[in-house]
Amino acid sequence: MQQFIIRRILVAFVVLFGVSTFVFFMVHLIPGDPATVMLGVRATPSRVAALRESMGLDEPLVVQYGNFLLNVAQGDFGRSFRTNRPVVHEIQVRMWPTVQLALAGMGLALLIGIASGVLAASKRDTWVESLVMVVAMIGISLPNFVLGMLLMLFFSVHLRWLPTMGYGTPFHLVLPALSLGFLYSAIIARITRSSMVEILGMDYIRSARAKGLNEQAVMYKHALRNGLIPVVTIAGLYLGVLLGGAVVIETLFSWPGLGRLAVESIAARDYPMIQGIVLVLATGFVFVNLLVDISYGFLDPRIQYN
Amino acid sequence: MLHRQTLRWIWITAVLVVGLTFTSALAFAGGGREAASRVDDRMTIAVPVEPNSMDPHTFTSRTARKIGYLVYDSLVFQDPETLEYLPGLARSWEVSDDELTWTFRLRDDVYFHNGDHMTAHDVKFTYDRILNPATQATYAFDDIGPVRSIEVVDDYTVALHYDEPYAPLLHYMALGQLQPMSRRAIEEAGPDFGTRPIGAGAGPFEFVEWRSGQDMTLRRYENYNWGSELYQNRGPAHLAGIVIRMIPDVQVSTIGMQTGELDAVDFLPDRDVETLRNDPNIVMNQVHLPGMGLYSAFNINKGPFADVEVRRAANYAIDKQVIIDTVKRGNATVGHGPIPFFFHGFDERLEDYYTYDPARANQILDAAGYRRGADGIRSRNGQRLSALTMVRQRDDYIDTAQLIQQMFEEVGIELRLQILEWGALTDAIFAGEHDYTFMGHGHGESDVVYTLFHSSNIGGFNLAHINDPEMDRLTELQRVTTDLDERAAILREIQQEVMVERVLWAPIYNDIQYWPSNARIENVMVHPNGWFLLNDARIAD
Repeated sequence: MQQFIIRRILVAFVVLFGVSTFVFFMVHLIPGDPATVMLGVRATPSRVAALRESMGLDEPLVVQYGNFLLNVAQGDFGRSFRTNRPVVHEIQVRMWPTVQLALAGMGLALLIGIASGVLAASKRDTWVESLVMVVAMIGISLPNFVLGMLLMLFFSVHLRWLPTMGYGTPFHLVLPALSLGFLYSAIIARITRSSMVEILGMDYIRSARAKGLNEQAVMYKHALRNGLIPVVTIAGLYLGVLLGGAVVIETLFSWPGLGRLAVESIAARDYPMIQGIVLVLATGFVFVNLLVDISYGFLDPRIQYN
Repeated sequence: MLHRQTLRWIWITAVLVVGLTFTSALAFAGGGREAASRVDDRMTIAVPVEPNSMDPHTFTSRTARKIGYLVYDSLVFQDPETLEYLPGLARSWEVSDDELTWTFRLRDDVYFHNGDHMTAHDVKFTYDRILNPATQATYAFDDIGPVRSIEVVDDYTVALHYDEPYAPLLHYMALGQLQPMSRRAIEEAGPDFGTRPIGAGAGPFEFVEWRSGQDMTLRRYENYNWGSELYQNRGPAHLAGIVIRMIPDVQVSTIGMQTGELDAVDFLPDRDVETLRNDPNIVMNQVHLPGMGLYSAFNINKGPFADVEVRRAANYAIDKQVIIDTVKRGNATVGHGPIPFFFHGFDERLEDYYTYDPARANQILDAAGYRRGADGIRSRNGQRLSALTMVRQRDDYIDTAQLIQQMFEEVGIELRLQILEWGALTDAIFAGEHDYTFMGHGHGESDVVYTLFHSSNIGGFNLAHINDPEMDRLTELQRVTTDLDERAAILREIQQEVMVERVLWAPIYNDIQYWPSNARIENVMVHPNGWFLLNDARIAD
């Protein structure tokens, strides 16, 4: 067991080393120079050269890479080229709003999606099913920024119920979470429906009905539990996507999340910040997977680590 | 049996539940805070781009400079109407006969936001800091010019010694990256000074907090009592504070003006001007932006525009008014050269020089021996008039480039458009890979000709890539000539060289911008550089 954990941790380090190397060279390969971008319309060759030197960009790439690895190994991701803020601190600050938005959006999507999917499956071949499926089709087809804009115009400009922009209260969360959640709720509704339809035709459901169980128990106790497996798989996948930052919605609603920070950093060629964001996300992924593998053994003693 | 997949979901569900709980708790706590602090006697302004820093020596963002006007007072102010320089933190100033020493006499009643008394030592510290390479000063380093040393003459007198006369000094002082700052505040903040410049300024509003990606809060400085004569109110501001919100989508800012969530926006897209103009709750403050809204530069070293006659013909082929009417929806005026018509030293002769005249363009190209091929594009000695045109990925640039592409086609010049994002674009055009490109600038001083045409700026914004001793001499001479009339004569000569003799550019337009503000706040002034001056602003009764 111990050996397994040590091995996995070592493998995790190799993965992170690979990711950091890849990211380092990728960001340096993007055309565009951080000093020039930063100096904007007043860039003069002498200022650019001075700034490049202070950023350490005048060193050979291999030396820069060595410095980068050395610093990261000591937990130092450096300071942002653009704002001079410590990268780690900035990511911490911007991560939380993204997590909030992702969880709220996915929560809404699951709630609406599963409920309408079950409704459609239980009312097969009626107008209810058609309505749910048409709305779901619209949800999948409608780009989320268009929906966001429409929601904003209706709830903020017309009704004046909710703020158009910003962060901090549950009211601020409603429109961005709805704009994000609607698309995924549509996908989840369709999957729930097809999965439920398939399961409702199975023998064990027929047996349940034959032994006199009421329809609700059949539906929720027997069918839904099995029907949710594909839904959970899809929801997990999309949650991962959302945690990476929902750039468009974050921009539209001025949400101070990680996605917006990543895009702004790429536009500014803010190398330390881009590297930091990618590394933090990768570490999160590796860490969760490691945790899953380790807990797997604790929870199921039949699993042998060798 | 527990599947691996099931376990994964146990984790995700756990994260979900914990996350949602925390989210709700935090969100509700935050909600209470915001509701309590939202007061009406503050002004909320939206900016589309978050500043990179609030340290005047290192910031490179226009937004930062604009916020800086509110936080840091300068030694000298400039009257937006008369362009006359007015006393600020300096009561008076003089330049020595040899024009190498500028002496500033400071007010003795100025206190920084941290309570420290401002003296000549703070001014010296501030300027020495700009010159110190460790500061990594950016624009401020250029703005202070070829200064040799800064001398504290007495507690309230400071002298700047130059190696050569430096004409634009007062302009750059008024423009705002050369404001005196408190030594103690800078030293206490250390490397975080740029993001937490607490107590450093002596302006009407003091910095309170900056929440990354969200907003910046300023509070009225109660001890402020040295307002410039630009304002009626020389004492503390009437507004209790200012909240600057980072709203990246400018369309959303317009909506925020309509809903009343915002009191003002820093950038209003042309397409939203009419919408807000018709709103009775909104005041439209109009400003003719300094610099050139949009110009096009020919690379004189390669491609079809290496021939001055082709460049001349191109200038006659552009219908600038059509571009202004369609792309800018009328919110611009025709550009005539590198210096806008409302700047000191503008050459009036350029006003009628290039008018839209495609027949004349054709004539010039015919006379130069360029013949049209089967596809209508001209060529001479096998060289086709086909130019690689690099265009910034921004709607107004792209739309303009496409219109000019059609206009040039009519006279037999082909433009091959390559749309590039800013970083990639500057890489390419600084290296001179383009034949033709578009650019804008917001410089507020005619000294911009040095940046645009001096050979030391090849690899920078000398986009014509001109390397010529005469241009170098003239652009250097205007910098060191402090006599206004003499300098104007040199500037006119430069404009003649750029537009008539060498034809380095085809200027397009000067921007007119609107800075809308909510009618609930009155006496809002807008600086020609496009920022709100709020010493007199107050909530309407």
